[in-house]
Amino acid sequence: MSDLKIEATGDGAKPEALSGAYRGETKLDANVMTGAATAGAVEREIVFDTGAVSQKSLAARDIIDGLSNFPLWSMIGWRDIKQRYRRSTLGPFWLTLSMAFMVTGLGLVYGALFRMELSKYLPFLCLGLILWEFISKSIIEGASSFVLLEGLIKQIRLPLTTHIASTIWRNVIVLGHNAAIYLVVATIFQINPGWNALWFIPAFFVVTLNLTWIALLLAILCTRFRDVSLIVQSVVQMLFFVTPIFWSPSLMPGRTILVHGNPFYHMVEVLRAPILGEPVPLDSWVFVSVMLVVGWITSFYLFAKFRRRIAYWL
Amino acid sequence: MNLIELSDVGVDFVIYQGSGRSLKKTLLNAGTGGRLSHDAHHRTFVKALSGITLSLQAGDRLGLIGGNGAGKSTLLRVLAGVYEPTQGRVRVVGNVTPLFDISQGIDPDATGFDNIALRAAYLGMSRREIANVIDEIGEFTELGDYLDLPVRTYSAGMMLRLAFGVATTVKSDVLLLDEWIAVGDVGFLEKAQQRASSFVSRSKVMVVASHSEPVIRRLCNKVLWLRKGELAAFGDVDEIIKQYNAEQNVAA
Repeated sequence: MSDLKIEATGDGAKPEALSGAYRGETKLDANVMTGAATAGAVEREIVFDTGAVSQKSLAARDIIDGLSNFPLWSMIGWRDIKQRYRRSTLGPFWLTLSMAFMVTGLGLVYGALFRMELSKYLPFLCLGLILWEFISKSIIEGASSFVLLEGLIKQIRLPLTTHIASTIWRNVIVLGHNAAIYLVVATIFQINPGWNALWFIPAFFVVTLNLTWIALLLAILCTRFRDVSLIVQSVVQMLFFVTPIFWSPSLMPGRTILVHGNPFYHMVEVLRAPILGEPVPLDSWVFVSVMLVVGWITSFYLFAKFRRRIAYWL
Repeated sequence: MNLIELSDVGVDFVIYQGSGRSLKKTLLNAGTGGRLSHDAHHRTFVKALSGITLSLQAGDRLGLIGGNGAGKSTLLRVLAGVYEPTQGRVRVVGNVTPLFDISQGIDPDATGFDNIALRAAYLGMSRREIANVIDEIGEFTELGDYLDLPVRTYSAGMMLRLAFGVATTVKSDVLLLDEWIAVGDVGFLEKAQQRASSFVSRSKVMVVASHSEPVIRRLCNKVLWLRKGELAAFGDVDEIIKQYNAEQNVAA
């Protein structure tokens, strides 16, 4: 219902001749004067009209309105987290605790297996696991976001991308909780990345926007083909082992294509390297940037084509 | 000005599962429900609505009647903008508030107040607007101290009060109600009706789908009768209900 557009002049949207083709339009007429309040105040009026605008602009509207409605999706994201941990004492810090167990366990075993110094290995592993949790859960949960919200989508007209945004936001909150573990680890091993850490900020935006198109694309596919969410889960699980999360890329001689051809390696690397105080390889930046552009174009095309069918597929 | 305009609206659902031939044939001749057909790709689809042309002005309170699967809920969803029709054109002016399934968007472990805030947010209110009206909604629901308890402790009627309170507080031009309105107790219904009428007096539109003749008679001033997804009749309440009952009796 917030799928709006402001129309400057008065007379509202005049319906055009009806074509057989299915189209859609949403408009805001700025023509209704409220007599009671301030004289001349213009009340925004919403017009939902499936008649005049192309599917592409409707899809663009959906994405802009959905992603820009921060108050709504941040509220929903927080609510989801609170709901999950409502009646537990530790609340969302269970996330932190279980991640801490994981880091300790894997750190001790693989540190010994790879014969790496714990002071080097543990921060690397800890950061990798936290970031992987963020990336993988955003993708897995994003993929089923439409299917899980069937009831809501069939009841209230909201931009569909609102649901994607709230899913991603939920995982940003989890990332925030998990960050506490890294702070502990970094303090113990006295890791100071210096100003280099600031590269994390642009990297975070680029990666999050990448995750958004991936989630949108998969959410569309998962709604139409219910098997996709199962495929996504097993592929993501496989990627955890294939991507250098708990093993360092330097351990892999030759076959660098397995590392450098893996988009997830680059997404992890642009986030991880700045925090560890290492320079981000240029090819990682190039990779995630190209991926951002190509990915959004693909996702947008698909969304424009199928947006209006999504409610029917649910 | 027409607040709602439908011209030749049709909704087809493609059924992706269970396209067994014999099943299709059985369903094709079924007495209730929309019409089933096949498209060029040999997919089965349900014609849930077809050829609906309708316009509603401010002050109209429309009741939707018809058998099971006649398309009442689908039509409400088209008006809500949830289903964008596969044929024809829909134009709805103003803020639409749907009340279809009260349990949706309710977090059973959160308090009544939290749920009011959440529902209001879904319906497009900002945080500040919510803060301004939350006490008013609390008062309307008559739930008192219950509003500080988790919603899972509520009865169905109490949930209804909550949902209705929010829906009628949000600045709404078009209110859409599905069957469940009968859940409320009589006293509350009267109050809800008053509130709903005050909507109408503020020149708003309400559309109610219901099987209950008393509900329709009490809340509506126009009736639309849907038969297998098509518009069977539209007009005055008494007139259409009489026709509808006549046909029901012939069938029985």
